[in-house]
Formats: sequence, C-alpha cells, structure tokens
Amino acid sequence: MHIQVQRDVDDIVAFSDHYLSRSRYVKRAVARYRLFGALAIGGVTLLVTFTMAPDIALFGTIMSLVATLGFASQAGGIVKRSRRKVIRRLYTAGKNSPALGKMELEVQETGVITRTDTTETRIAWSAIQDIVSTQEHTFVHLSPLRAFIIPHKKVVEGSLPALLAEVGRLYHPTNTLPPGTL
Amino acid sequence: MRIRFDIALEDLIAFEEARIADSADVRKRQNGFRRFVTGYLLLAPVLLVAFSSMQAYWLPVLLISAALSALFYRAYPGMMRKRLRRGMHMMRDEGELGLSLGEAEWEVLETGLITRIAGLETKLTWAAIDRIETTPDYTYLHIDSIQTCILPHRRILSGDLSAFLTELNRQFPPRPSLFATPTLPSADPN
Repeated sequence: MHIQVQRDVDDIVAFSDHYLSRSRYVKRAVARYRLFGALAIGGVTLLVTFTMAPDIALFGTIMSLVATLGFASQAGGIVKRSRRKVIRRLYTAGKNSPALGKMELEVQETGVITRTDTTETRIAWSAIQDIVSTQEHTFVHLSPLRAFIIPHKKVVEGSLPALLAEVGRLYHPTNTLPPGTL
Repeated sequence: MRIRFDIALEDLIAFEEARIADSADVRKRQNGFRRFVTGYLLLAPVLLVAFSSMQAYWLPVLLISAALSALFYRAYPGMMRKRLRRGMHMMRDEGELGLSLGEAEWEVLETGLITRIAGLETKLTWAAIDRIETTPDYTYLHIDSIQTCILPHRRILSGDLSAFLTELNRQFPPRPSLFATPTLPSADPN
C-alpha cells in the first residue's frame, strides 16, 4: 500500500508551527521570552514616566500596562513569525532539499519506506514515535523535531485514509528493521 | 565500506556552535543585539538621570553604566554558548533529540551513502548531498540548509576512519566550482 505526495515550503512551515505548539522546550523558552520582555518593556516605561514626567504618572502607568500586556499577548506570535521567516529563507535560498518535492510512502509489514528523487528511507515501526493529524497535514513523528509530512491536499496518488488504516493494522512498537540493506 | 560510531550530545553542541559561527545571518543578529544592549546599558541610565532631579549624579551613573555595558559586551559570547548548551541539554531531557544520538553507521557505495541509526536506514544518492565538510574532529554531511549528518572522529566504534574518509571523498562526485576560472578557447592565429 502506498501514496505519493507533493511537498513545498508551506508544509515545512506548517510542521514548524506544529512543533512550536507541542514542544515543552519551546513553550518554556517562549514563556521566558514573554516574561522578561514584558517586564523590560513595562519597567522601562514606568521608569521613564516617573523620572522624566511624574506629572502624567497615571497616563504613563496605563501606557506601561498596555505595552506590557500587548507584548505578553504577542510574544508567541513573534517567535512563530520569526521562525517561519527563517525557514522560508533557508529552504528557498539553498539547493533542492529532499524535504521538498515528490515523496512516496509505502507501508510494509516491517515499517514504512519513503522515497524521494534522491533518497530512500526505511523506518522500523519501533522508530515511529507518534502520528498526528491536523486539519491539513499528517505528521509521522520520528522525534518531536523530526517527522515525515503528509499534506492532505497534495496527495497525488493513493488514498491517505486507507494508508493510515493499514498503518493502524500493522503498527507494532517493538518491531525493528530486519537484516539487509537498501 | 562501513564505519560505526557513537554520537553524543557534545557532538551536537559542537555542531550547533560551528553552525552559528559559520552563519553570517545568526552572527549579524547576535552582534546587533549585543551592540543594542551595550548601548542601552550605557546611555539609558545617564539620560534618565540627566532629565530627572538627580542631575548632580550624572558622573557616577555614567561610570557605573560604562562598567556594566563593558561587562555585558565581554560576557555576551560566553552567555550565548551557555544558553545553547543549556537548551541542548533541555531538548535531550525532553526527548527531542531522539534519532540524533547514539550508535550510528555509514556505508559508502558507488551510488551514494547509507546512514543507519536506531531503526532508521536512509540511502542518499550523491545528488542528495550538498557538500561534505571535514574538520579535525568531525565530518559533516550537509544535505540541505537544515539537515546535516555528523561523524565524530573521536567516537569510532568499528571501521578505519581514514580509509573511510578517503573512500567517501573518492566516491563523492566533485561539483563544478562557481569560482573556477573558465578555460577560454585560445585564439588561433591561422
């Protein structure tokens, strides 16, 4: 049973967003950024108000509060947008990556095989950590940072629901790769 | 020809440090932040004092600000290195570096290279590999701007490293250099 999909930079960006929303490490880093950023902005605004314009202290305090809350609410979005920009730049500037373009996924008794124009990967069931589906993508996770991306709208051959049903039937978390090479 | 080796967290940290040192983009961002905070630490307290009722204290404030900003400027690269190490340790502890650590194997074929690590076997044709970079401690196989495979020279479990690298460089097809001087046809006087 196999399917063929076509992937582009938007799919990598979608995976990056998915990673950011799940990773505990990233969540902690964003929380730190949010806290220190908000404190710095609020603190500086308050300091400036009370030392340079104490006669408008109430207005300054309100502005400081607005700036602090504004930054705190936008911090996650700032991190996400900055990461999206970096990914787009890296993938459009470099050489053609095996992470882009056509990919074939084949399900076998022993695991999954993926093929692109230049690579072929055999993945034992034991190496698959999780399979997560969102509205537009299915991510076959080998680790939180690494996954095969299946964009639902870009399946050019085969049936994704049938493939996922086959994965559900054959998946065995202790299965390793049998001897033999590609 | 095969080689088996171990990848430790220290190797991933060394690679990330090399990548940061190599990336003009990251360097530019970090230097910008470094200069901004240094300038901010130097000027902000002095300006605040200058416009407040504590104007008489501008000189000691300036001296303290200058000391703090110089301290920050000097300590910043070390802070960044520590932050990277802490981040990588946290990622390892959270299980985010699975399939990047542990025993791995590379096998050179005429048509490409096979990498094996914990239940994952990938065959890369030579066309899939952007470039191979060898330093005294590591060999890096750059697949694209983001994906890189690492061979730490000091953690070989089996196989002959120098013979392997010779074979790898012999098989990896040379790419035409962008900076190669073109050979122009010589003018024929006849």
